[in-house]
Amino acid sequence: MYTYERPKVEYKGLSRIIVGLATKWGPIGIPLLLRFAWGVFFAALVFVVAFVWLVQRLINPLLPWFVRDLVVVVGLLAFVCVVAIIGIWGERKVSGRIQSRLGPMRTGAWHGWAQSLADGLKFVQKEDLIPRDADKPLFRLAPYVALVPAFCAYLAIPFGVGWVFRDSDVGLLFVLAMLAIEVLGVIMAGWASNSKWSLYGAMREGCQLVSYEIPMGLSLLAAVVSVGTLSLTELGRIQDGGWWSWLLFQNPFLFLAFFTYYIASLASCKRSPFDLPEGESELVAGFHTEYSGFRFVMFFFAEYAGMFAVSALATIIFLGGWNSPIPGLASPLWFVLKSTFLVWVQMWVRWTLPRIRIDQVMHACVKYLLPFTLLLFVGSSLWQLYDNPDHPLFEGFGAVLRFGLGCLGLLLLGLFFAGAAYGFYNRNRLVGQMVRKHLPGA
Amino acid sequence: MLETVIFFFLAGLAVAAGVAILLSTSIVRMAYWLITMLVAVAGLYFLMGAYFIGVIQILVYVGGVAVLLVFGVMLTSRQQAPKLLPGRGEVIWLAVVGFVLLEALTLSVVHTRWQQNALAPANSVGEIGRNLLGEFLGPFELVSVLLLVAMLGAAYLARPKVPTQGPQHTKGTTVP
Amino acid sequence: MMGLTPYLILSAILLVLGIAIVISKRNAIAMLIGVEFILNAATLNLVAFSRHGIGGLSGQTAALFVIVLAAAEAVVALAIFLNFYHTIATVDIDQGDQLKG
Repeated sequence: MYTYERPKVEYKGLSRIIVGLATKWGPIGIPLLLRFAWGVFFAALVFVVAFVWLVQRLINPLLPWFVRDLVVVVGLLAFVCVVAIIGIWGERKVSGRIQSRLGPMRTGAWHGWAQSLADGLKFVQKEDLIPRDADKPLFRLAPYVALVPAFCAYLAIPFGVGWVFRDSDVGLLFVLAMLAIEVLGVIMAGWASNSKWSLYGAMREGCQLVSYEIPMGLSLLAAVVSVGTLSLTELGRIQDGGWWSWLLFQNPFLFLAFFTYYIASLASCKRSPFDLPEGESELVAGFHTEYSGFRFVMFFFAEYAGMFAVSALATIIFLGGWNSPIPGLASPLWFVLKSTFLVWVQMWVRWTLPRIRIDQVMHACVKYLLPFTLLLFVGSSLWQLYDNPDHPLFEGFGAVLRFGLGCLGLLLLGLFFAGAAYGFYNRNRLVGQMVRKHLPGA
Repeated sequence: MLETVIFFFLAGLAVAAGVAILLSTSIVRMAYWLITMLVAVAGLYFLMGAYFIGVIQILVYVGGVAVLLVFGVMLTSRQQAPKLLPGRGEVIWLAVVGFVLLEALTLSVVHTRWQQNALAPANSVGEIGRNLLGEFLGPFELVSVLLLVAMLGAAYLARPKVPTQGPQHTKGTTVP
Repeated sequence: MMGLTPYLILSAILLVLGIAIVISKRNAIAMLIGVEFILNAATLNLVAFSRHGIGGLSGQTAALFVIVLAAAEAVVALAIFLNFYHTIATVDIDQGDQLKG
């Protein structure tokens, strides 16, 4: 009878050191870490504050710009990793709730918050496979080409006034350019895997991404036309004055541009309903079928980093960025809150809508979204042309329309909260047979 | 000092990409070395302070032209295609012609007395925009017409043909 | 600092590399890649001159036009090459000699 013997894996170099350390200290260290999780968290916070103070006092006078750049880049890396980790956990919880189940509940005491960490540990110790006839250098390079541009997009995104790595005149275009390089990583991955299914996924993704960049760019340009600058800090600063000064409510064309940008960004992040490239039930896993272990984690991180980046762009340009709805209390926390809300909506949309075919995807882009965004762009430019003191009649009409848009926005927000309140108040009645308490033993 | 280091790194990357394309035999690798060169040149634009041109280079060249080339490569390359290598006489001619041209250009550059200005302060996007709509309005409109014509031409050339027996293996003609 | 000359020499090297690629490769797409090298060399030249104060802003605007034109040319060339591939089932341009006397 045939018995399967797992091949003995010989680790070499750095992997050997890491695996040795994990095997020796893991069984003691990880339960300790989870038991004193709060303590570790506060200790880390104190350590970071002390480190920042130390750097400021001692090292900053020597090499000011280098140290500041290094610290900001490391901070951004940490932020992107945290975003991806929380995003993965959040996706599983949201998908669970939408499908009338609870999602991860066991790893970590509260609603499985450590699920992503456990997943990371699992992925790290998986076997690293490269298909025999695959193009090895390209296969190894592809995850980096997908992940690094997604991270570089964060270098131009301001989290607040002054909270930006480099504030440049062309920040908006820089972020769009970085998100456009990801296409090549995906195509590289699909080609280098030497597998039909990966190649199909990669080709579809290439078509989809390239064609949806245009409505994305045009919607953003409609907003740029009404402000007059491509700098993201300036675009955010213009909207400080309360929720009625957000670019979303300045212009009926901009109101619609927000929605078209959102739809185009869903396609750009390969999220459902446009997730053909990684069609889970069609192509095994699309272009990253042959990727296992840590290489797959890099693609996953790239996806969540990209999701947050496009949501961040939508927040800065349409939703006021770091400004609060009430004039005066601007802070980076508002920015993170609004971007997280948009990412959350992306997850809702993913688990609600069915996937559409590639020809429907292209049809929707070229025949509907593209002409519509062109109209929005032209409309926004004409609005800009006429909405000035030379045309008082139009200006009055514009003010009335803005007021109407503001009311519409308030109405939508009210509907959202009303629906949430109704769902919360009747939460025991609406869910049916779903288990609402912890499973036994969890 | 740092500027020189970065310049030599990016310039070396671009030249290495070109040499790698010359020495390579797989068309897919050539396409990805082209992308390396485009990104290196974009980095050089950023180094020089021409941020807008650098960003446009990445958006249009890397995000558009390079993706198109990679698509073209994948539509027209088969795994069992023969490696198309140049012959030995060709290589020698190529080396001679290339060396002579390079020498002519480099010597003419080195021996000219350029105005040794420092880098101008970074131009804003607004200035380039005003230039486009002011001094360069004619070329701007002509380029937009040209883009329209190119789109129409490419759409016509790449239209789905009446299905025949597929690609012929003889050097005859097929029904377009 | 760096001055203008290193950029010009680099652009000359890229130009010669591009010409070498166009001449020595028989694959049609490889020729397109060589043409991209040549165009990039010219654009680098234009932007270098503009940024070092010679010629004002015209260099960067012209560079913009060159990039746009290169994109249009790549599109049309690729459409032609795809036609070529459908007619003769290879991308070897030496096989395209049906009109030879």
